[in-house]
Amino acid sequence: MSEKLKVENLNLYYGAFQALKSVNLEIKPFQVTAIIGPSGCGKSTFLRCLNRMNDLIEGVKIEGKILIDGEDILHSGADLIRLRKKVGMVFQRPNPFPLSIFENIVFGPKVHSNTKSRELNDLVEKSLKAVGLWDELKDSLNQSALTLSLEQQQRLCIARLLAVEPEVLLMDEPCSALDPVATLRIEELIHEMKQDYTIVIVTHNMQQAARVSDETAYFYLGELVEFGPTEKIFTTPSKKETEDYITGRFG
Amino acid sequence: MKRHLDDELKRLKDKLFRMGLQAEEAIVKASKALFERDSKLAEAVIKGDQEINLAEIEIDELGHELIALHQPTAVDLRFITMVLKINSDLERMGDQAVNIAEKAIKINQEPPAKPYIDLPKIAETARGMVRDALDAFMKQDAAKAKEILEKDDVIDEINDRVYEDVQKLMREKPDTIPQGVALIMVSHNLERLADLATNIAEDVIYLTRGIDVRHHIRERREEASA
Repeated sequence: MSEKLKVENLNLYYGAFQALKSVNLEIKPFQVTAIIGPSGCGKSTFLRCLNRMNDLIEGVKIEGKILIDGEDILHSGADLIRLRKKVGMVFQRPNPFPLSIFENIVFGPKVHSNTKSRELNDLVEKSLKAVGLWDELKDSLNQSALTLSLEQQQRLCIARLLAVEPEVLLMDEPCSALDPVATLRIEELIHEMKQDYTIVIVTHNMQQAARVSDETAYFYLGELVEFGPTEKIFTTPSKKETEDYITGRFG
Repeated sequence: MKRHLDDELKRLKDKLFRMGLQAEEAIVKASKALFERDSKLAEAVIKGDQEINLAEIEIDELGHELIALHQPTAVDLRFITMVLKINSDLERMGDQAVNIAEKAIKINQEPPAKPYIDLPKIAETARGMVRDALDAFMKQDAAKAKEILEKDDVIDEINDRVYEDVQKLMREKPDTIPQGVALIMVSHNLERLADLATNIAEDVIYLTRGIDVRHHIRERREEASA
């Protein structure tokens, strides 16, 4: 089994509206997979299925299978707490808790286990180092996370995820609130993190998909139109619809 | 959606087409200079090459500018990169025409050692291939490009015949050796022109279909993975 995630015949309905139409997709481990497509194509809906974030939406109906390491997460008996620890999500706007930097990072580990304070200190250092924040923030760990710049806040949110030791990171337009330089720095971080994590990123920015991902999936009207190696999608896509979208002729 | 990039790509295409016509004209004139013993025409070809060289630089500049400013992808990216490659092939065509013109001036100083029979055939076939390659590019016609690839064998065959005939002549009349060597070189220049036209045809196939047909690499990879 080479894939980390395997999606089989996934259908999703919001009431009578079908937002995803028999999507089949395999996501390889330790790679960045980008999901692109025009607004309303179902890409965020798809991403949110991967850690069952859509469950809370009223009237939603999901069919099919999503296997993570071979285990179906859509199964009614699936352990959601364990799932969301394993599959974390980063959102468009950074959403740190109104707590200190330190408390933001240890929040998850405290919920998931009885970690000792010595270990928590190490965990904070390790997590902040992983996102390149340690050197700038190590002397102000008790400062409120809300005082940080947007880029720092987004890095902190990623560090907060890493602290619960996930395996898959879902990123929903993680750079859309950031300036271009901060965007490039977060992209570099994504590139480094794929050594340790499987990353799925939804982005409106096609050049970002081209820069950071190994494989790209193009969604349109709830359907997966094309999926393949990013270099192929951006040089010689197989489908005309994909070509029209990525060259800006449509969308 | 109307894109500003489309106007720029059209400008690039037109520039390349104009350059292609210049290269084709140089080939026609250089051949004529030899076959009709017109050294003045040969000199005009040599002088005219400067314009082709300038066009090459302009096209390179515009192509790089479009890549830097528009970050093209997919068919747009293939178009620009193929234009840059074809550009350099057309410039080499200009150089080959100059080589032929230079030989023509040399050969025309002496009485002809033999009538021109096969050389005009290569020249006409090669010129036709260049014209067809340009046409295939302008119309983005992969089928037409594929036909060009098949003509390359014809050229190789006539080229071999020229080599044999001229060698025979040189053996029989050693005083024709200087002219014979020059004729063999012209034949080689014409054969190179056909090769460059073939390169363009391959680029047109990649541009339109996204398939790389060079060096039969695809078939070999498929065989290797089978």
